[in-house]
Amino acid sequence: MSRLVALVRREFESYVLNPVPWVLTFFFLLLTWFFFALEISGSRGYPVRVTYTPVFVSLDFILMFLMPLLTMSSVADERSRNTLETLLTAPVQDWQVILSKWLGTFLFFVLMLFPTLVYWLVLRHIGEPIGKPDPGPIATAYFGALLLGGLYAAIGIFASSLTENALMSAFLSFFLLIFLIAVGVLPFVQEASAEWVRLAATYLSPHDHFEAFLRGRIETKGLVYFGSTTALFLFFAVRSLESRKWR
Amino acid sequence: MAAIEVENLTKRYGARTAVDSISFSVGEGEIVGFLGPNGAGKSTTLRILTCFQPASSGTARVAGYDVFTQSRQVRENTGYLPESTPLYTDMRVRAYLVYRATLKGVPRRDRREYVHDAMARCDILDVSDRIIGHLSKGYRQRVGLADALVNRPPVLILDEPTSGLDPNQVRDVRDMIKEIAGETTILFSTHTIPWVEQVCERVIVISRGRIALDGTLDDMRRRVAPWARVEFRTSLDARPAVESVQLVPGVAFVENLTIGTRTSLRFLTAKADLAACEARVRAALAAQGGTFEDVRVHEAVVEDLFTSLTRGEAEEPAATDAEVLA
Repeated sequence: MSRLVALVRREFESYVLNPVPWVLTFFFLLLTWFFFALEISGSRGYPVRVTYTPVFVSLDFILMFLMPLLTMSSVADERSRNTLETLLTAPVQDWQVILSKWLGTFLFFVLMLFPTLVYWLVLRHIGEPIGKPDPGPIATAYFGALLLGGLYAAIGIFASSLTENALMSAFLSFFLLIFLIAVGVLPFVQEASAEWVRLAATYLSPHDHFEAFLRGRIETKGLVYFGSTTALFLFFAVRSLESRKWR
Repeated sequence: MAAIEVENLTKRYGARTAVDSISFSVGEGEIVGFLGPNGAGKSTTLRILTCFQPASSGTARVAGYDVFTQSRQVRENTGYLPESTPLYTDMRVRAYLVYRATLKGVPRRDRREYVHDAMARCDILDVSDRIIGHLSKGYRQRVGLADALVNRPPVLILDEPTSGLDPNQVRDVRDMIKEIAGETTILFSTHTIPWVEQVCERVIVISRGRIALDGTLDDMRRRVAPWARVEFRTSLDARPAVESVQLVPGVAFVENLTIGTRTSLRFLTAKADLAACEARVRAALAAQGGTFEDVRVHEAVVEDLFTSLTRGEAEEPAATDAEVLA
């Protein structure tokens, strides 16, 4: 247990002590603010209904760019700097390494989300004439945001585990994310004759699942979706780390 | 019980065989130099011993545990310094060593003491609060070494602990190794021969993935004692000169030392046969219209044996070469 804690701490520190994650945090907040402002101005600065949706309305889109950049070096740099060799010849297990990288990333993502709580105050202020934002949907929105970030982080770490080139890893996870998000709207999927193909494609995209959380609903299928896909990509990452043994 | 036992260890990468069925053992408390040119299979072997990669076939036991089935126990009992000393350059020295000690399972109450001890041994107490990335190569090497021994493992495996260091730093590393010798078994790889002679008594030479030699330095000194090293210049070009000298009976390990325009060669020959052999070489060169001049004769030293064993990856030793190795 103390090993896992030490590993997670190291991962989290590697984000905190480097400038790039903070630059990404800055862009994250900038984009969040931009889409929030855009959404609000659509209703002339005053929302018709006071909901938390405008804050995270484009989160799946923003993170599609930022999460690959945040996670790109997590395993790839350890490979290219050979620190993977020191790490894996210590008595730690491959799954501990991957899990700690994911948890470290996740913790930093939590840190990134923190400043967005300011929109609660903003919404209270501009929503004054209509009403206060409901705490319930806000809680589910954040819950959904964490699940979304967790999934993206798992995909990013999996991509990072495949290569020793951080930029390559970023491209890889970016395309994996685009595929996952857009597979439902691809023309040949849309025109597929079988109903289940379209259903499956829509189910694969995190968008609808995430939106349910934004609307204040915790759906079992959403929990299952995020839980299983996150676990799956982390499992892939562990296997990819293990591949040194059978390649 | 041996601290390291390797039996018929083989590692293949696709069609290329990096390590070809090697066997050796290292006794408890022994210091053994693992010698060979780059690409001979040293690092691959050490990586198998430290459980980073599995072997294609064969077995290896470290500290009494099997590297394949008891990987965790092996890693708990082995300190490893990989080639090129990879470190987290954004961390501070002490924080890094505490982190490593935790990963290696040093109990919380002992961590401070163990880390302090390792830093004292490697003489890095004065940089304990510096960021690793800001340290010189020599200091980084010592941090790597401190990491390898922070949990006081019974076995240390060091991959080229002196590569890229200046002579003073090499001496420091040598002293450190001597200091921890005794209670710890140390297997280190290197390609600098004089260094081995100062640190340890036993050497395993690996060449082209096979063990070319395994024995004590005294053995080797005895082995090279009856041989002399002859260096000379000739007016012939290097290639024809080497080719004709190689064919002379009694000549072993012909080596081309030419720098610039004058051809200069070196070979080994039995001291007893020295005069006659020189005459034969002179005759062989004369037959090609070449001279045999500036002849210098030295005692053969252990280094001659190493260079002879490990040069030219593709060459097979000739009959007389094999005699020297015997």
